[in-house]
Amino acid sequence: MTKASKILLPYENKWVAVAKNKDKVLASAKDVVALDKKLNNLGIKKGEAILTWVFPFKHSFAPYNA
Amino acid sequence: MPKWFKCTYFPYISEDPKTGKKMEVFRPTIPVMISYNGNPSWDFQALIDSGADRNLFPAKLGESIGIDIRSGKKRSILGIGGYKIIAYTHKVKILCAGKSFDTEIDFSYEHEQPLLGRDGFFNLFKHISFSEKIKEMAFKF
Repeated sequence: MTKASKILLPYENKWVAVAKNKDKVLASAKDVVALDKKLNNLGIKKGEAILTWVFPFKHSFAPYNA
Repeated sequence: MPKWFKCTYFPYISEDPKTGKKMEVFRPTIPVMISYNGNPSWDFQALIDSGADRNLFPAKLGESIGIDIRSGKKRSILGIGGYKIIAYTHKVKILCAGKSFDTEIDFSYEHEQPLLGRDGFFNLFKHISFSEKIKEMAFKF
């Protein structure tokens, strides 16, 4: 595993904010509204982080939309 | 002159069902931003989903930029296994590869991973291709 995925290990099924160089997780929360609040409280600016949802590890992903 | 934007897949984690061992999987997500009434979101990774008819995002992502989710047009979305979810459609700007596009996104409280589908994302480009071997997507404007 690369460092970029290893840093996601503690965050299954959560939203995380990853530093732009993908070397660390800056904050995590159960949804984007809560994560937005945490990032603002930490003084992190838009452009310094990228948000992603950490897919559940035990399931393959087949999105539903038709 | 055709303009191309290329983006590598993003690394996530999956568990091998036989061994239980965690391994790295690469999924075709790209960094995008959305904006509503001039209020931009954070950059976030969205899955390029050629199987999705339309864009589908988590409602909380819309709420974070001030969208009153339930004021949008209500829509029922049917997916794998016959599972139905409710979503609400809103007009937003999507920013991707340094360009801004007007589009529609369906927001649902029953869905987490942002999906970029054919109507509202794929149709913004002349060509989209995936290369599994090098884990790269290419978008032609």
